Amino acid sequence: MRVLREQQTLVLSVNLVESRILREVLEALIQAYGVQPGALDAATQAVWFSTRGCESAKMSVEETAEWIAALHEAKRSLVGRLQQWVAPLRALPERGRVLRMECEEAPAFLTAINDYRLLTAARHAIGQAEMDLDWTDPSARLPPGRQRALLEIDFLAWLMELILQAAAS
Amino acid sequence: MNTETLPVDKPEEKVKEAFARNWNVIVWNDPINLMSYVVFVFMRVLGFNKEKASKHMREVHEQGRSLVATETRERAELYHQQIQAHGLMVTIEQSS
Repeated sequence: MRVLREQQTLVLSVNLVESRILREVLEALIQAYGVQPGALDAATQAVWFSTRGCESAKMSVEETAEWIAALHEAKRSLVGRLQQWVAPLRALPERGRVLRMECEEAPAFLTAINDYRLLTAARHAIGQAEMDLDWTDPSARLPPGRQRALLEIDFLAWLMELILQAAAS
Repeated sequence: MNTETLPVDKPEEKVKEAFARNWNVIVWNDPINLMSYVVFVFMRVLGFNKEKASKHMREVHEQGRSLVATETRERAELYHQQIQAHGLMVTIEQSS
């Protein structure tokens, strides 16, 4: 995977495996962003729509509901862009695929894939202990579902670091 | 005859309260958000330069939380919404 900056455009080059993972991530986000907060699973609700800050601010039930609705609208407004970004990843297989985005779109992309990391960690109970696991230690492996979740979280972290570096260059 | 006095709104107090910069915005540590991403969010949402953003990120990472702003309630609520929208754990509370 490679991210280069060409003037005001970020060019993300991925191989087939990376492309497939990223496509699945973006498709999952398109689906999840379209779901009303109350209809999401409890883990996702807790991490995407945590009301801890509303409670500390002593917001009323109505104010909290409005706050959640505004947050949901902000996420839902990203769906169009996610569909644009996933389109080149759905193209016929070649040796690799290229995703281009304007630098000004990078923050939205970062926020979206970070949302996926948070969602995956919450759904698979990935916490500090799992994030600190030593990958070179075979006895430290998690059950397959959680191991895959950890792999996705780390893969997206790598992508985020590359985008942040390229955007700052 | 009921002589109970009804509460009277005090507009000057409401105005004073609205402009009082006594709401703390606090960002909390979590194991998933990347340090570089936290710096990015502080720069983007709070307008910090890289040095200040990095200092607050380190506070979050090492002390578990960082007080990133003390503002009017309206501005603190805006930061609360924007920081949470970026996936960071944030609370606001009135300072004593």
